[in-house]
Amino acid sequence: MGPGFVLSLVLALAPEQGFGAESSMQVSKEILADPAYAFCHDPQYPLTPQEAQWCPVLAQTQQEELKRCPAFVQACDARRAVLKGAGRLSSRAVEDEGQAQERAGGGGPSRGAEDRADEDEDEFELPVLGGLAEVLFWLVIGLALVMLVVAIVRNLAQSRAVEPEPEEPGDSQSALDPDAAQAAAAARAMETDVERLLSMARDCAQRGAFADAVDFSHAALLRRLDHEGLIRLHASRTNGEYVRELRGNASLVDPVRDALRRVDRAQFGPQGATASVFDDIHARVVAIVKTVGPLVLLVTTVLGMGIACDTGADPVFPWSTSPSGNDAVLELLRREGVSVSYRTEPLTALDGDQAYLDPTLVMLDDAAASEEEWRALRGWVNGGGTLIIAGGQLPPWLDVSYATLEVPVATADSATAAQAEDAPAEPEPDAEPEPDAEPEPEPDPELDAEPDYDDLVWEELDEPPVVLTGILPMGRSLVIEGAVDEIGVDTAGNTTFASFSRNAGRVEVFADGRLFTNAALVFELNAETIVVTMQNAGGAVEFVDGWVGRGVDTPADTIRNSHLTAAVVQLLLLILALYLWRGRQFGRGRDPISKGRRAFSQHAVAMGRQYEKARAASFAARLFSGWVLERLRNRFSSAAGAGLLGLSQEVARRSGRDETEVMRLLLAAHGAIESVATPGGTAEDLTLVRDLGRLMREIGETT
Amino acid sequence: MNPAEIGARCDQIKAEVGRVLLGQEEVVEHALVAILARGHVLIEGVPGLGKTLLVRVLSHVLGCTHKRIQFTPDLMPSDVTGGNVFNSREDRFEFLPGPVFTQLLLADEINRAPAKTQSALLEAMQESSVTVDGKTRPLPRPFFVMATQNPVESQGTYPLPEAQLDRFMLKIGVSHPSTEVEKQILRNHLEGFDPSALERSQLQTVVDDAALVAMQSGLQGIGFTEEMLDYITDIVGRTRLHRSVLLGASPRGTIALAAASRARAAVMGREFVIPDDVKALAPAVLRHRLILQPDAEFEGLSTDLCVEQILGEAQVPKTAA
Repeated sequence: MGPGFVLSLVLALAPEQGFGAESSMQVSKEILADPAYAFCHDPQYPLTPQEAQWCPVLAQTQQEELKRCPAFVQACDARRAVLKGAGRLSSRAVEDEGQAQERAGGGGPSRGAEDRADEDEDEFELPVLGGLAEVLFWLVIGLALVMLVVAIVRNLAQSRAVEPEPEEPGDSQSALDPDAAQAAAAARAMETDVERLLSMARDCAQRGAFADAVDFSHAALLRRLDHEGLIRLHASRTNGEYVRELRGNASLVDPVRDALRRVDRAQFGPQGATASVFDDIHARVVAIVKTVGPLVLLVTTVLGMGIACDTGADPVFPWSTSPSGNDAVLELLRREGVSVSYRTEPLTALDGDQAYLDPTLVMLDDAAASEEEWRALRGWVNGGGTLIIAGGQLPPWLDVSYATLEVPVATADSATAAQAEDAPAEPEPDAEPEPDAEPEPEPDPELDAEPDYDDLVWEELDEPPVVLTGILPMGRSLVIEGAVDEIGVDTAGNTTFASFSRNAGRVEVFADGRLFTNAALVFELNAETIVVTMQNAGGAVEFVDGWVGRGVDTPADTIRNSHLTAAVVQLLLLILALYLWRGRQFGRGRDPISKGRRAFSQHAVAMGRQYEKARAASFAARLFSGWVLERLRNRFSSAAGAGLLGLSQEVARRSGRDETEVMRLLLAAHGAIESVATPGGTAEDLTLVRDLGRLMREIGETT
Repeated sequence: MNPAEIGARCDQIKAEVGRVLLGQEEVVEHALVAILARGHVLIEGVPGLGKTLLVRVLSHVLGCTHKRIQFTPDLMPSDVTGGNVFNSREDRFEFLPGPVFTQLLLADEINRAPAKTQSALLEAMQESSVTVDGKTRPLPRPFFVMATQNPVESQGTYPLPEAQLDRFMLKIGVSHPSTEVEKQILRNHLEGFDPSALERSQLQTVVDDAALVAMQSGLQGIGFTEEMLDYITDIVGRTRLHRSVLLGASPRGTIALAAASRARAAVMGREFVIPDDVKALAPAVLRHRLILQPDAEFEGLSTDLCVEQILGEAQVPKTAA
């Protein structure tokens, strides 16, 4: 084993815990034997460049040790993968289609097409879904489960209900007073929720009102079909019309027709509705109602999934079971009796929560805390909590930093070369920490040589530490500036672990978070180290990743985080503008405007407005005067003759007006007829129209 | 005869008629409805659509006698009803029955005869009897009149008066068959079908006149709920309130709608009337009983459109909406 690959971990309390090393080894072996950890079983597993850093370590490992993860070494020769998404919730796929075809064709070095085919037959895997389709898929599954549970509970409730009513001719509708029947009809018309209608039907049936129960079941069926857009429900439409409307849907038309025929018989037949009739109808309605929605939803979902599915069928590997994931570590700890979980509460909730000191917090390498969260963590640690930093962001209040060691090249060959030529070096203890700076290479130390403890900052420790070894790729070391309780070094003398006391609590820092990944468990000693570390910490363990604290408390925060604030504000402004423009009416449901025929008066008014727009008062006065004189002559010509004098006398007699005044009006009307109409008109024209209209109304004419 | 048996017989009749008369299923069903309801049918359609063939086939399948009167401007009432003729050998007048004395009567182009002749059918259609020279003679039972009129040629015609129209239970519009049906008609003719020789078609007589009368009597067992009566009266009442209708349907129209609905329920083999029955027959029952406002007619509104509007507004009983 080459230099720099061995981590010496100082765990002074390890012997006291008496952990079972044999047990951890065996458990970790069993865990990695699970096919879910494909990197241990698939020689073509696509490794990320970061994961490929394990390859040099693996190349130096004896085959006997690698039996628990035999394919990992071979996977080092596979193509590198690219990540879809941002890690923890994402999965990975191979780089290109050619690689996928190669894999599908059984081109792997150790496994043939037959092996893969057998595996495909044995394992059922869901298709690859896009984000929306995946959400929709699980939503459908969830809804189906809920509906199943509801149906079971409902059936159980029904079975516990009272025994069926004995059959009676007719039903107890007659027992209902007319008001109750009207109320039921109104409720049926108003209620649009199918489940509530079905529930009302059952309630009515339990009361013995089978006619109402049938009506409610009928309404539920039609409402469901209407909601699905299969029919257009209207008060004037008959059941036969609904059935004809369903002709295009072969799977529904027959059951709906049968159900509606029975409804017709119950509603209009001589026997009326009875308990058995209702049960029959209700069962049919429920069967249809429960079928229609899921059917439409299923079709929609399948279509959506078909669109969203990755038809290339490239294998996708979940992040959690990849070499970079943590599932195996969690499983190992659980099997060793450690209560372990991912933290969901924000870190700021720790502030002042002195009662919540039991869990050990492990901040994984992708965890990032804000200043406020670090303050909370500091308070929590000072109060007695145990915090483990697994290669991630360091607390600003801790005198420690990272120094980068040279990382071997990812391929096995280059890794071998790097192993032969390069060696990591610990930076000068007094030097300023420069996380991004490349450390100076140092000559290769002997693999089995003891570290040069004299040069290390922990040389002042009272007693020699108990050293446990773990194996990791070369990565980072720690630069410690202040007091430290315990430290650990690798064989090259790089400080890779440090433990700090903070009042009643403790902070442990690992330079490399890969100790807590699935890949680390390939080596037995890593499993031991993890278990011992957690058992020493005591209590439950909570892993903190990059998602902790990312949730929001209010919908407003969600909108802000999703950058929808501007859109929402615009929408609100639009609503406000509509409100200012139309008032409250714009938000109210209104009946559609009926397209009735216009009354004649409306046509006349519309024509008058057209005249007004055209400023054609003189034309209007001329036409109206002509109509008035013609109308008066038709009415009074037998009594008054055709002349204006006789006409004015007769009109004056009937209207009670002065004869001279009437004569003046008729003369003006006559003059308007005889005159040449000019565009524009005058106020006198309108006055004449009004006066003539008033005169006609006085003698009983409608204008 | 119960409704189920009536329905079964009607299915047989429709199937048998359908063997010869293609593409007129609705007309056949309406004719059956009118026969069962003891009503009469006015068919409006251009010549050549199989109206005469319908009567002949129906009479054959129903086992009834049939006659045809071609109405012309010079047709006299006695040409319809018959009259007393002096028998010099017996030195007395004896009654010579007219063509109305039959069970199925086809009054072809009824609007070509003057009102006097048209009215000769009034008593026959309403009372199923004929009065000549003060003596009333009953007509054979069942008695069914199928009158036709041509909607296209209006010159030299005498439109039926409202009183006469009201006597017809249904007014059916016959339209041209579809291309497929017409092709099948053509194929049948090319294969030797002769409308004047129906016996070659081996038509079965499904019922006889006695059975037909029993079927008519069986309609009494078909009931209405209160809601259905409300629905029928609501529809007819709306014809009197419609803004485009000058004169709505009379109570005789209400009765006709109920009777026709009941007959349709029987044809369907049901012992109760449902809204579908009423709605299916309302246009045929009401379209000739409405008189439109002049301005509505001027705007091109038809009675069919009015009835459609009314049916679109009347609330169906037991509706879920």
